Amino acid sequence: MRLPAFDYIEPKTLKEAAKRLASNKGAVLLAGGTDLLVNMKHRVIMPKQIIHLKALPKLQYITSGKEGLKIGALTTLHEIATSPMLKERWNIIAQAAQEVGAYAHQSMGTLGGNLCQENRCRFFNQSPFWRGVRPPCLKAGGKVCYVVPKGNKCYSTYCGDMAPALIALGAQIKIEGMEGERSLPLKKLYTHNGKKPLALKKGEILKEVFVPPASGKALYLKWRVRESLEFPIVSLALYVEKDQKDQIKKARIVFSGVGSGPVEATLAERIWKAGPLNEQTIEKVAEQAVKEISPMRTSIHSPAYKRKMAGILLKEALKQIYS
Amino acid sequence: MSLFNVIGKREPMLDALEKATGRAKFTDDLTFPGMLFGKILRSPHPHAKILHVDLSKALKVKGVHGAICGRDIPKKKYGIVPMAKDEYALAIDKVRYIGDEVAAVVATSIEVAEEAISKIHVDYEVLPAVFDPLEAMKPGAPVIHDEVPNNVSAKIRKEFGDVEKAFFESDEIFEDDFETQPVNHAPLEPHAAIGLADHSGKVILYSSTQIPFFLRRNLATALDIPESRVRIIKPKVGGGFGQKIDLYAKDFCAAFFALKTKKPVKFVYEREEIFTSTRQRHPFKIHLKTGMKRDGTIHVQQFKAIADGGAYNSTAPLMITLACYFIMLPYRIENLLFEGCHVYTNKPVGGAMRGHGIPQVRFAVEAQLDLIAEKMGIDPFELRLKNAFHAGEPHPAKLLVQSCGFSDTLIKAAEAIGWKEKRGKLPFGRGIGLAGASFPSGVSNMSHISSGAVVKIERDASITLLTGAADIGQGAETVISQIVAEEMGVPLEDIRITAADTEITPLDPGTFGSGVTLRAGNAAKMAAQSAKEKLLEAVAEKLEVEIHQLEVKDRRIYVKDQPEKGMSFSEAIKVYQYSDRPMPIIGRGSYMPPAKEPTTLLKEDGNFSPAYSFMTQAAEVEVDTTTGKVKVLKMVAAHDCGRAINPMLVEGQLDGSVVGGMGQALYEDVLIEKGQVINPSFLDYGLPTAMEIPSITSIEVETDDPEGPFGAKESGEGTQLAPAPAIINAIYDAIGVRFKSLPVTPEKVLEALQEKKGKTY
Ligand SMILES: Cc1cc2nc3c(=O)[nH]c(=O)nc-3n(C[C@H](O)[C@H](O)[C@H](O)COP(=O)(O)OP(=O)(O)OC[C@H]3O[C@@H](n4cnc5c(N)ncnc54)[C@H](O)[C@@H]3O)c2cc1C
Repeated sequence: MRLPAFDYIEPKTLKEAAKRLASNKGAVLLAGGTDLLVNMKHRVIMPKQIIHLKALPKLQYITSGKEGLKIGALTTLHEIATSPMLKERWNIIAQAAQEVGAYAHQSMGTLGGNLCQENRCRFFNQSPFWRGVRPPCLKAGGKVCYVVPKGNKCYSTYCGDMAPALIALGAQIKIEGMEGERSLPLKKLYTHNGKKPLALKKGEILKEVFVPPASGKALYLKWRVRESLEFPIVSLALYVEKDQKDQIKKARIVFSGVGSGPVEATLAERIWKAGPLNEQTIEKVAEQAVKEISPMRTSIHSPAYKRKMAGILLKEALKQIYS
Repeated sequence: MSLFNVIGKREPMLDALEKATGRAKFTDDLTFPGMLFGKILRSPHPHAKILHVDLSKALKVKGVHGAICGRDIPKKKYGIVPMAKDEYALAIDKVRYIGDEVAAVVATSIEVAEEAISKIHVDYEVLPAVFDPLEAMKPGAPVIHDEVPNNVSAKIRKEFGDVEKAFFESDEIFEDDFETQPVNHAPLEPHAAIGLADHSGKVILYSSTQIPFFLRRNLATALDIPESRVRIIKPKVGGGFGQKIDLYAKDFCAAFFALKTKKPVKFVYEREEIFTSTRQRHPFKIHLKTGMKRDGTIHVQQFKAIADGGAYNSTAPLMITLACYFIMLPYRIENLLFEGCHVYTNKPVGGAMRGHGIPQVRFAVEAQLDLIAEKMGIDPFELRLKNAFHAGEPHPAKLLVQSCGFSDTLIKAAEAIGWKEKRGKLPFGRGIGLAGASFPSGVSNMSHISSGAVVKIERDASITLLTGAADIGQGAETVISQIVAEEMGVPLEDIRITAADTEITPLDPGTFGSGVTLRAGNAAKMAAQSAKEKLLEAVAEKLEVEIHQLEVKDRRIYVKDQPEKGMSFSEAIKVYQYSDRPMPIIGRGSYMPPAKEPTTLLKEDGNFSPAYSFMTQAAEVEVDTTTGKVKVLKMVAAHDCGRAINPMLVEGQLDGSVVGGMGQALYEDVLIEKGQVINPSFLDYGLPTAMEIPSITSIEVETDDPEGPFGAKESGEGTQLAPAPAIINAIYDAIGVRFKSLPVTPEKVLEALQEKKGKTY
């Protein structure tokens, strides 16, 4: 697999990058490239210009203070996975980073790139020859989706590892754009529209992830066949925070791999919050959660299997988080 | 003290440093001035008529030096098995699977070639396709090759003993159905070829091949030129596992365009092409019926095996024959009937893969043996030991087994895995299992499996070895050099080897059938012996002794009982030259496995291999009963490879066999939907990674085979047979579920566990 031809620039400032991105219709951002370059080699993304962000030194940091945790968008997953501070105080983030792909992906891949990675689909992440067997799919610029018969909507799936963990912690993101900076909850970054999965406007660049102080317990569980290399078949992040009276104040359940964006199972969260947690309620929470996810046949794994594993994983996670 | 000086030593591979430092040159690493790059256009249809191919737009792309399709090439079919030729380098008239070759271009860069490929227009008439071998065998099914109207392109029926009577005599009869999946060889080095032509119309092809001499023959056929105008050179090859024995379109096209353009031409396959358009292990459907005597004797076995061959034959008749023949050991079975067939489907092509038809059948046998053991209340280990074959026993099908360490491998493997303490005694979710197997060290009785070698002693006493053997990463060159060094009485470093160049090195059938060490090793040993004798003649004359009184060791030639009476190797060369004998000293060896009881494999009974290896592998697994994931904790591989010429390389093979076996048992599956491979990448095709590899204990059970060089047999393909069933049997011990289809994915395990609990989701 080889890259198609493109122009390449290294802007000196974030402003300049945003400007270039906004002004050039065929421009895309490059961070670690572990997602983008594969898609380019598959010719599903054919940018005219590549704007390399790695030349911007100021976006690579991990800091923590009273107000919370800040991670620059260009921080590598390896830095996140091995940060002693994160491991001690925000282990779920380090752990999620450790679960991404294999070592090479972690040392090249960045947090920003991970959060902004393209949705995936077995009809999309393929070579031109493979896709040439049928007319192009919706996501690759065609008119049909092959995931369901005569599909007229793109069902591509979000498969990132970092987003569920960060959303469970209530993370916010900072975005730099032509009109300056804006903040929004990370959850809102995802449109759940398979064709255009991110809510970024023209020229916008993810700059920083901010996580508010979290005194509760968090857990990330990822399901895959091999211990390395693979995207989640399904994964989930849990967060639970109690008040002084031992009442659950916050309960979050966020899945990856089972929808066109990270999926928060809000109704299941409510059952969990209502407590008390025992075998029966765990069963109920899981039962509800698997109703809230919508896995489709977008990978080599069947939706039924994903659903089954989502339930099993969630029950495991609920047991683990209290032990 | 060891009898030997170089044999049995853990010598690093001769090219280890080169490879570890990245300096080794594989085909794709080679480059020549003015080289062109090629690409192949492949069929998007599983079955279609080619009405017209329009190359004109491709030819107009700037930088394109040529474009061809089926109508431009000699109408000469090729195939690795001469009796089963059914393939053109580029499809003529018809395509038969998604990925079939339709056209090819060469250009000044890969980018230009890719662009040109996209400009070729092909008119197809799409034909109904068939993907299931059982469907393909039905009357009225789409016909994939006109010459084979029922799509059954190879068949075998072989019986010995009296099967009907034997079933009648049996106390218990067991019948089970098994199914196996397509597995890709996944060599890390992608297939590549570079063609160069000279003014005389001769073509030199550098190719990632396992069999240079077969490739020469097939390429000459496909190009329709004499073999004398084809020279094959094998650079370093990064794994083959059987996938690189065939000629591929890349070989043909590189040679064809080189002849046409008079420029060097390179073709390299993408990983996806390796998945769709090379070869894979045949998926099998197996019905196995076994008749047992009450005392645990395997009295009779009957096999019905259907191999899904995909669109072309490749090794079809050989594969289905081997599946039958190799199942006649390591147990003593007096009565056996094997009916097998190879069926065309519109899918990727099946071919030789490590074990070649046997891993599938062996899985069935070993899984059923455990079933039988349980039902009959016999320990699976004892059952195998009781039925184990022994050296020198008469074989019901007239195989000649001169050395056999099978029982020893069983005993040692069982001991190392902790059979007595653990089997049936571990907590739910943990279990152990074992499986046995046997494999020939190459097949005999076909002259094209002869091997030659030349050993030259130079003026400076250095030794040059020429062998046609093809080292594809297993260390063949190292092992053969060790054999020559031992024979010549010099250290390994004194040997210089040139291998696998059809113009320089003698004929050799290459790397297949696990015969390299025995065949090429024997040839090299003969050559070394003959060169040595010439030298010893001169020395004997000088020392006034008989040749047979002389011994060669540590670069010295001396009289056996008077070690002080002798001379160094280089002095000996001087003596040789001063006695007016001609230089260089050249020894030659041509070896053909003996045909003690001739057989044509297909038709008559008889011995078909010079030597048989034996093995037992044992596994310990842990099944996560919540998720269904199986973790292999430990593997024991006890192997009788005769004498291990280089124990480290034998262990390398055993380690590799464990990884391959785990892949076959648990991870790997080429998923195909309507003829399209849906996981043609290392992301979705789940080869086990380093993270999955368990602790591996290798046990070499040494026997001294009279036919093998210094007693050596094989440790390549055979090692691949037992690990998968051992793992499957261990899973049964762990959770009490018997899996009869591969691979056993977490999904299947989970389903089975839930079924067992009587719980539905
Ligand atoms: C074999 C393989 C296995 C993988 N396994 C996993 C896995 O298990 N889990 C997982 O989560 N991922 C996996 N990935 C995907 C990828 O490696 C990771 O998601 C990685 O973190 C992406 O980061 P990057 O910096 O390399 O992104 P890039 O490839 O550089 O960028 C990805 C996308 O994000 C955009 N982008 C990058 N930075 C920004 C920014 N600051 N603002 C706005 N947009 C931006 C790019 O334009 C591009 O569209 C895998 C990839 C491969 C090839």
